[in-house]
Amino acid sequence: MSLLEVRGLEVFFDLPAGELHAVQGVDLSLNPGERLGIVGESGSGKTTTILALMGLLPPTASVAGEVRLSGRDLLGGGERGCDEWRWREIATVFQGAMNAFNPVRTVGWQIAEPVQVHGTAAGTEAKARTRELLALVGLPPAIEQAYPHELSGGMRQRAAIAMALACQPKVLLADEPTTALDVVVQDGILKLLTGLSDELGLALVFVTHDLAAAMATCTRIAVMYAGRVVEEGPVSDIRRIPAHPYTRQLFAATPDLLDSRTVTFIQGSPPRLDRPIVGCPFAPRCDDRFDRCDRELPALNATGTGVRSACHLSATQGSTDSGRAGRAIVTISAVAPPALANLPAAEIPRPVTAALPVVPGVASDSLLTFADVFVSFPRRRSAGDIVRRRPRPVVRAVDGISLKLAQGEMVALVGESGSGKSSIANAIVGNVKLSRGDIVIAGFRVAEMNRQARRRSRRQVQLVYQDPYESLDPRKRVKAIIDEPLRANRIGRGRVERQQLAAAALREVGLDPPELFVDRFPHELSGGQRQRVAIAAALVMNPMIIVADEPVSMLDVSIRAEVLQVLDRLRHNMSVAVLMITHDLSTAAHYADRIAVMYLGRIVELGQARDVVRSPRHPYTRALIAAVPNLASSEHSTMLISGEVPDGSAIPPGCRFHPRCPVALSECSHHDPDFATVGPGHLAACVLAS
Amino acid sequence: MSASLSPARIAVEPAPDGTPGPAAALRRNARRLVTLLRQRPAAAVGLGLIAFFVIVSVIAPWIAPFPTNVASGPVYAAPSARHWLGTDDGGIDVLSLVLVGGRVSLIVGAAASAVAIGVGGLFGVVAGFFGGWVDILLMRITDYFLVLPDLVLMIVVAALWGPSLSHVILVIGLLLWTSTARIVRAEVQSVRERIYVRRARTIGVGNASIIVRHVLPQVAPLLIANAVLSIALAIFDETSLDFLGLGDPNGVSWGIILEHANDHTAATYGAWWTVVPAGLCIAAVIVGCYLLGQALEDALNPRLRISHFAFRSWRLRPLVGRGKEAT
Repeated sequence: MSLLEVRGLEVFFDLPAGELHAVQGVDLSLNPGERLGIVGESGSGKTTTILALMGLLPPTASVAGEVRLSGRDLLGGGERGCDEWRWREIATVFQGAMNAFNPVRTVGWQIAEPVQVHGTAAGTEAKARTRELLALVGLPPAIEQAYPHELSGGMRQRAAIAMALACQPKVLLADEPTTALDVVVQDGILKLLTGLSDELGLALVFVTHDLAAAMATCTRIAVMYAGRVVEEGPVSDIRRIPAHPYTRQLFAATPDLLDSRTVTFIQGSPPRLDRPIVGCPFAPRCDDRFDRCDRELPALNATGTGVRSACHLSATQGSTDSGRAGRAIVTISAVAPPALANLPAAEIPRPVTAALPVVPGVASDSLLTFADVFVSFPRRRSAGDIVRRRPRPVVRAVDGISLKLAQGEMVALVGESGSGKSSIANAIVGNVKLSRGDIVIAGFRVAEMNRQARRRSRRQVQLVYQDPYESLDPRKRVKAIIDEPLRANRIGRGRVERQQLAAAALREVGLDPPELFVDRFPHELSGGQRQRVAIAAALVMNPMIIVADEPVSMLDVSIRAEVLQVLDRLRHNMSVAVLMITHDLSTAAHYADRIAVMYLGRIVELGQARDVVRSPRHPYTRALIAAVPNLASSEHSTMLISGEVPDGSAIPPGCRFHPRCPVALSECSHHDPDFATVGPGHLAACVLAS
Repeated sequence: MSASLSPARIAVEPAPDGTPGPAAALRRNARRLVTLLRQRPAAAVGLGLIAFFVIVSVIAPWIAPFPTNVASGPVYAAPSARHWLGTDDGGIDVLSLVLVGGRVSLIVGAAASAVAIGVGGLFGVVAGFFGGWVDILLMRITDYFLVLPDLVLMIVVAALWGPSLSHVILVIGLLLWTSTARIVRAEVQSVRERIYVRRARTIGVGNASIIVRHVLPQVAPLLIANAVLSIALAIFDETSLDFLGLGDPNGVSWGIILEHANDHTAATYGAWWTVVPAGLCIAAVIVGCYLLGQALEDALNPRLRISHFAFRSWRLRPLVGRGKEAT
C-alpha cells in the first residue's frame, strides 16, 4: 500500500464556451521518500492535478475519481473535509513564489501561520519551529524578521518551501518551483528538495515542463499529455528507453549541453480538451501513427522495460523491441521538420546577397560593434540615503562591454538575471542611453545619432521580445501587426506592396501559406506561431541585425526548436546577424556560433560556443555549466557557487566575481583581471586563465 | 488559477470569422452582446429599462393623450379613466407630462455623459500616456474639480449663466468627467507599459498612432461602461437642478414636474400622483443604467472577476457519468 494513491482522477471545468476536460483519468501512486516528476506541456493538466490533490480547484471545477492518502479518502469530504489533511498531510509550494507571500507581513510570521492555524504549536514553540524550518531550507534565522520584498527570488522560494513544511506533511507538491529562477538558483532549490525528501522521508511530487530538471531531481517520472499520463516509470528506465513517442519527442526537443545532436520540435499543437477525443490524443502529432491510433485510446500498460506507456506500439512490441525506442531518438532528430525544409528562399530584396563565410572574432566585416559600452541608471535616493548624505546610487547595468558581430553570425549573451543582458538589448535599439562608449550598427554610431539617423538605424536592428503572449497586441490581426512597422517607417509603396512584403516575411518564418495566417488574431495562434509572427514583424523591416531577448523562454520545450530554427535559418539564408540573449546555456550551445558569458555588466568569457561549453576557463562559466540539469545522467554535480548576482549599484572591487568565486586568490579582491586569450578566439577574464 | 487554464493558451482556435472587415467585427460584437445578456440577466433588465424609456420618449409627442401646456381637466384631479395619472395644479394631464418630460432627462443624461467621457477620456489618456509633468498638471486640475462641492457649483453656474438646457448639460458634464479621467488614466498607465506598446515604440510608431491604434481600443470598454454609469449620475444631477429651479424654465422634465408639485404644495392636497410617477421613472432609468453599466464593467474588466471569493466550492461527481464516456 503506497502513501498516496490516485485512481481515475478526472477534473472538468465549466467554461462559458462549454466543458473542459482538463484531467482525463490520472492514476498515480507514491511511496514515502519517493520523488515523482510530472512532466508535460502547458495545458497538459499537471497543475490542475496538483490543485485537485490539494482540494484547491476553483468553483467552476468538478472532480471525479479517488485520492487516498495512507488509505484515507481525501476528496470524499468535499471542500470542508480538506481542512483535516490539507497542509498537515499534503502541502504545496505554489507556482511563482512571488505571489505566495503577503507583502505586509514578515516572512517569519507567515511561516508560523500554518503552525498556529493547525494548532501544532503556539507562542514560543511556534517561533522555535519557524527557526528550525528556516534552518532546514538553508536560510539564516534573520530572515524571520524580513519582509518578502527584501528577499531574492531564490530565498523567497526557499521560504515558500519552509512554509509548506511547517506542519510536517508527508507529501509535498511542488508546482514549477524553479521556473522563474536562474540556473544557479534553480540548481540550489532542486538540490534542497532532493535533500529534504531523502532526509525527512518526504514524498515529493515535482511538476515541471523541464524534462532535464525532472530527470535530475526525481526517482520516477510521469509524462502527461492532454490530461492523461502517457508514460510512467523509474527515471533510469525512461532515460534508457523512453517507450511513448511523445516522451521520445520531448527528449529530442530538449537541448543537452554537451550533446550536439540536432534538437527538433514537435509538430502541431496539443488537442483541445473541450471536445471529446477519439483515439490516441497524441496521434495527430505522432510519427509512428497507424490506423488503430485514430480509433482506439491506448491504455497505460507495462511495456516490459520497466515503464508503463499508453501507446499501442509499446503495448504490442514491448520487451521484444527494447532497442528500438533508444534508437528512435536518433531517427527522429535526423529528420528535418518538413515545414522548414521546403521553404522558399529569400524573397525580400536585400543589400547583402549571399551568406558570407564567417570568421568569428574578426572585426573587418563586423555589422554590430560594441565599443566599451557603459549603461547606468540613477536610482532614487532612499530616505536613509538623504539623511546620511549618501550620493545618489547608480546601478551600473552594463559596465564596459566590447563585442563584435559579423554578418550571419549568432552570438549568445548568457548570464543570470541582473547581469545586464537586457540593458544591452535596449541600448542597441535606442531605448536606453549609453553613458559611455558607443555602439556601431552597420556604420551608424548610436551615440551621435539624430532623429533621422535613428529612424534609419531602426530598420537595421529589430528586437524580438521574450513573451509572444505579451508582445503582440491582442486586438490586432497578424496582417496589422506586420503592417505596423512598414507604415510607421513609410516602407513600401501602397497597401499592395506592403501586403506582399508581409506575406514574404511570413513565408520566411515558415508560416506558409501566409493567407492562412494574416487574418488571425494572436490568440488564435499557438505559442510558437506567435513568436514566429513576432519574428516576421521584425524581419519585414529587412534588418541586418536581430536582437532576440530570451526568444523561447516563455514557450513550451516541445516547440522551442521551432522558433530557434527559424532564427538559425535567417542568419544562414539572409546573413542576418543574431544577438540572442538567454539564460539557457544549452540553447546557446546548440544554436550560437559564439557565446559571451556575462556577469554583473561585463563579459567574463567569450569564445566559440563549443570551446566555452566544453572547456570553460572562467570559474563563473564553470559554475553555470555545472548547474545546468543534465538529461543524460543523474549524477549530481557539486554546486560550485552559491548566492546570487549582487546589485548593480554595489559592484565588488577587484574581480567582480571574487566574493562568489570558489577558487578566488587573495589578489582577486583588488585586481580587476583583463581578458586573457586562452584559445583561438577564446577569451576569459580571470587571473587563473592566463 | 494559473494561465494554463485560460482557453486561449490551451488550444488553437480556428478563426471565428473567416472574412475580416467591419461586417464581421459588427457580427462579433453583436454576438458578444448577446452572450453578455444571456450570462447576466441584470444587464438584460437594465438594457430593457433603458430601451423602454428611450422608445417612449421618442414617440412621446404622438402617444401623449393631452397637450402639456394647456389645462385638460380640473386642478389636482385624481387618477381616472380620462386622466390615468390625474392632473396637476394647472389641470395639466400628468401622464402626458411624464411621457414628454422623459425626453429632456434622457437628452441631458446622454449629452452630459458624452461631455464627461470626452473631457475625462482626453485628460485621462493624455495624462496616463505621457506621464511626467503633463500628468501632474492635468491631475491637479482634475483634483481641483473633484473637490468642488457639486451642488454648490451647479447652483453658482446656473445662476451666473442663467437657466438653459445647454448650460445644464455643460455644468453636469464638467462635474462628471473627473472620475472618468482618473479611471482612464490608471488603465492607460498600465497599457502604456505593455510589451506590445513598447514594441510599437521601438519600431518607430509615433505617439498619436500608438494612442489611436493600441491604447484606445484597450480603454474603450472601460469608457463605454463608464459612459452608461455617468448617464445615471447625470440624470440624477439634472433632476436636482430642476428641482432647485435652475433647469430650463420653458421645458418639461421629470425634475421640473417634481419641482412644480413641490412649489404648489401638492402634498397638502394629497395629490401623490403628481410626485410618484416622475419619481419612479427617474429611479427606473437610474437603476437601468446602473445594472447595465455594472454588468458591462464586470464583463469587460477582468480584474473585477473575483470567483475565489465565491462561497460555492468545486464539486464531486460520481465516477460513472460523463467522465467515463470519454474513455
